[in-house]
Amino acid sequence: MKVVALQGLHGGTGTSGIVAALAAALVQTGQTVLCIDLDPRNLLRLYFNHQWRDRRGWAQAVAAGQDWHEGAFTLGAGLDFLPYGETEPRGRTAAFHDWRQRLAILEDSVYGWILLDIPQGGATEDVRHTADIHLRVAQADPICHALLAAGALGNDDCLLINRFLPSSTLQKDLHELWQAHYPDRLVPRVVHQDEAMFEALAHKRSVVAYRPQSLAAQDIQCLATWLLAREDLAE
Amino acid sequence: MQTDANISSFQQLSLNNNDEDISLLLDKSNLKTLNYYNITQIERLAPIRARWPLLSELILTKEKAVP
Repeated sequence: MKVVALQGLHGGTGTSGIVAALAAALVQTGQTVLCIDLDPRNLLRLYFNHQWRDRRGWAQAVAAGQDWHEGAFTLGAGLDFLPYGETEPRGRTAAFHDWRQRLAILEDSVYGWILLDIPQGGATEDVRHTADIHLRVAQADPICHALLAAGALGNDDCLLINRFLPSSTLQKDLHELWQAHYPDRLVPRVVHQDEAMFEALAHKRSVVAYRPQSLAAQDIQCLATWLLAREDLAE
Repeated sequence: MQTDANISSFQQLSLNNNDEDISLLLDKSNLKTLNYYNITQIERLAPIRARWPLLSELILTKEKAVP
């Protein structure tokens, strides 16, 4: 069982969309995946055709004294999804710890991959140590560059560029700078800017499920292949 | 027969010899601190930094900031 944590370098980098699409791409290759939303905004569920008014989720279950996995949903063969759930703000911090212990009770044979959608600024050390790989999702913009210069990238983090626009001189320049500076940590494939990502959310699906031939979907399928090929994630 | 390993070690030896030659030249020219490994990269990235004032000001770090 491999645990992948995805977290935006700053807010609004499109991390949840990538988590949902990556889950679908891994399932397409025959993997079994559990997606867990650790973001109190509780939005990842929208990519999985979840009802807006449905309050269920792991934090809501924990707050109600139930097991954390009570709020999980099965989305066809190979893909389970655990929303955050609607909770009172007071209960959020208390419910955020212990993920290492929580995931330890899952048997390796049930899930090949666990994908964690972590809110920006919300990665506790517990969650960081739980993950086998920590992907920081960035846009090739000056804010992300300033954050990188300020040391926002953890020592073992990998950097994934989302919403890349090849026609932008600034984005191309930033990409080249980051390639030169982080040759071992920059994910070798970017996810391109693609309207299909937004249309997919409007259809309550991931881009891989909604339009698998789109550029963004193909980028994320390559990301799934890159993860599957990584030796440090091999059993 | 020459194997991949032999080729690799031969290339490494040749690199080391070149390194020594270059180091001697730099010593003689009083350029001991010149980082000649990344000259091509530095030259390639210079116009990028010149184009964007913020990028020339910021230096990327590989280390996580201590909170």
